[in-house]
Amino acid sequence: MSTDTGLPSIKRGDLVLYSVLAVIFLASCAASWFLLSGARDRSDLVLEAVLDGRVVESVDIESLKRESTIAIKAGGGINILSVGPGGIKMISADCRGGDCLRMPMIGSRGGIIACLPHRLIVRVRSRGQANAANVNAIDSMTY
Amino acid sequence: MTRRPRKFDMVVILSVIGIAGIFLINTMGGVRTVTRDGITMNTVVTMTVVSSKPRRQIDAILDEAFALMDELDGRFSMWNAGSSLSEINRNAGISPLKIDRDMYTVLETAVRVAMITDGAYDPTVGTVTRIWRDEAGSGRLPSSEDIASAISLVGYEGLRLTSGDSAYLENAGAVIDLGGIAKGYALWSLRRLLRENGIGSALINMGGDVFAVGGSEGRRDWRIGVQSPFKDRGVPLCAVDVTDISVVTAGVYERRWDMGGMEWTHIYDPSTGLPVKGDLLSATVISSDPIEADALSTAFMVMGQARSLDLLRLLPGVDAIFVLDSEDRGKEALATSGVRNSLKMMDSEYRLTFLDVY
Amino acid sequence: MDARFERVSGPRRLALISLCSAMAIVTGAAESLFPLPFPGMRLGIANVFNLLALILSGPGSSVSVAVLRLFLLFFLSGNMFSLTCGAAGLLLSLPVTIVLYERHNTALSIPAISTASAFAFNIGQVAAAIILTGEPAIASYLPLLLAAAVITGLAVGRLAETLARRLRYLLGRD
Repeated sequence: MSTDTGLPSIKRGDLVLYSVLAVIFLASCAASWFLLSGARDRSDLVLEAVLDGRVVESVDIESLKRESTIAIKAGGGINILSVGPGGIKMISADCRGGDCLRMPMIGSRGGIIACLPHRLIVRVRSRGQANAANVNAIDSMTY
Repeated sequence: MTRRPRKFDMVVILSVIGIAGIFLINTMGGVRTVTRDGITMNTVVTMTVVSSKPRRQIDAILDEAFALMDELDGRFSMWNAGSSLSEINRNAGISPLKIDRDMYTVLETAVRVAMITDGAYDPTVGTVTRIWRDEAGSGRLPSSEDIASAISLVGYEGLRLTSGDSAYLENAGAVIDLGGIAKGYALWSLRRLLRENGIGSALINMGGDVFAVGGSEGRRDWRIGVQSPFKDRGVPLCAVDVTDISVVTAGVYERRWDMGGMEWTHIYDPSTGLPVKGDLLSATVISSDPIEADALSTAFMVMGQARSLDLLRLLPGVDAIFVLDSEDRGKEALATSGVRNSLKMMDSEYRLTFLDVY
Repeated sequence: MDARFERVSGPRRLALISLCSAMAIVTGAAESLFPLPFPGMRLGIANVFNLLALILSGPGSSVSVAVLRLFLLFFLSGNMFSLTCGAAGLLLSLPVTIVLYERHNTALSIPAISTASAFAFNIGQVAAAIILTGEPAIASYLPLLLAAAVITGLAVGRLAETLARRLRYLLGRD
């Protein structure tokens, strides 16, 4: 037993366990590459704000030539997003905690920003994905 | 010293994992959205209910809702000989009839809207709908004599409602048709049913007549799309964000058919006995009362743009969106200023103008 | 050869659980300040104290410390999402840790066990986040979290081992 040397102790089974963990890690990399590979071409990207599973706001990123802000009413408060060439970031939110403000910028690689107290998710998708998921976010039609 | 985990340890582990599991399942349940489609009231009905109740309970409420619509259909249909409406029609010119409160409410609203629209909506239009429907199968137009005799029996003044529980059609042969109002009443009843069952958030679409009950999950507005005339179903001209309000549209592009070389629609002008040929392609009414909205949307199609806007001046709280029949001047739509902030244009071919009617 | 420590029981066990829980809550509160790509998720540094309790006094104590920390932190922060994520993480990581330590202690070092535990913790958190939000894209943060788990796992394991040795001495014999 290497208990008193102060050096990291390594036992015979460790390598087996580390190998298993390495396989899990690689599998997660593959899964995330697969999830993000859908959205790469910036001209094809749509920003979607999803409230309780429904798209409430959908903005063509290409149409935004310069930095602009989008305000989204959600869960009794307001979240303000900054959308620009560099990416998308939550810049203001009146939720408790303000965790969403600390989330990293998202952009052409896809990704999401979540404001959980307001149940709001902001995500970037390719236009094809966005159209298939929700047409103009209409709940019902009158005719 | 080696020791297997004690029994106590195992009990603690299992109970904690169990509690955590139950807790997780509960948290994940949350608010659910249940949608059901069905065919009733002679149309397709889609009901969406948002509630944190258990799925089983929501299903039971939806069962009850669809049963209610079937029941109302049986009472308000002029084509169903066993309906209480048919009973009133059979007793036209014979004797007043005791009616229940539901029927009284519907007839009372029908007469009120008939009065304010100066008969553009008229519940006694049944003789006209009947002759057109009888001829629809044959492909011939009703003769002008038939139409003349049909319109001679139309007149809401001949419908006497007294003491809250009795209805009487004075003219023998007159027929009440609640087609333009029954769906609105069904929507109103459904909201009552949902509220009694503790559901404050739902969206009901009854063949295009929409009632947004509460907001979407009590937080956000429901977004209702207004059909772009003659485009595929589901293509919106614009959308309105609403909470606890009904959005009802009457349009000439629905249920059109060719007859005698002309296109006809299902909305009849009670004064001429002919299908409407006004200057509107569609009239969408936004009102907290779905019964009124249903009748008004039909009336506006008959009245046309100018008269409708005059009437809207007298109806604060009622908003409307009109799509004009103006091919030569380009595609045009009008909306009352009450929806200015909640309306979102979606069909770029149309030019929308807001009108301050109040 | 069994490398496990002699286990603490009786009143000393109670003292150990209390001590570990208290330290775990402080650590948990501190680590919630560290920004992760997804709000409510934690690095799992506070897991050092469940591991410590496991080493010194068995699975029951370990679970007690973990659950006490989870709920007390919830009462302090009121963050429901954090609670659910943490519960899901523990739901996976506690069984992994306990089984590895109790059954394969002779073959595995504590930092290795701790790394596996950190992996399980993060996979559980991400799974809970995906289910709660209905957004599978959250899984794209998994590689980042797992990479962090290697570092925190090794550090937590090493720390737990050292602490166990010193605390065992302090707690004395029955």
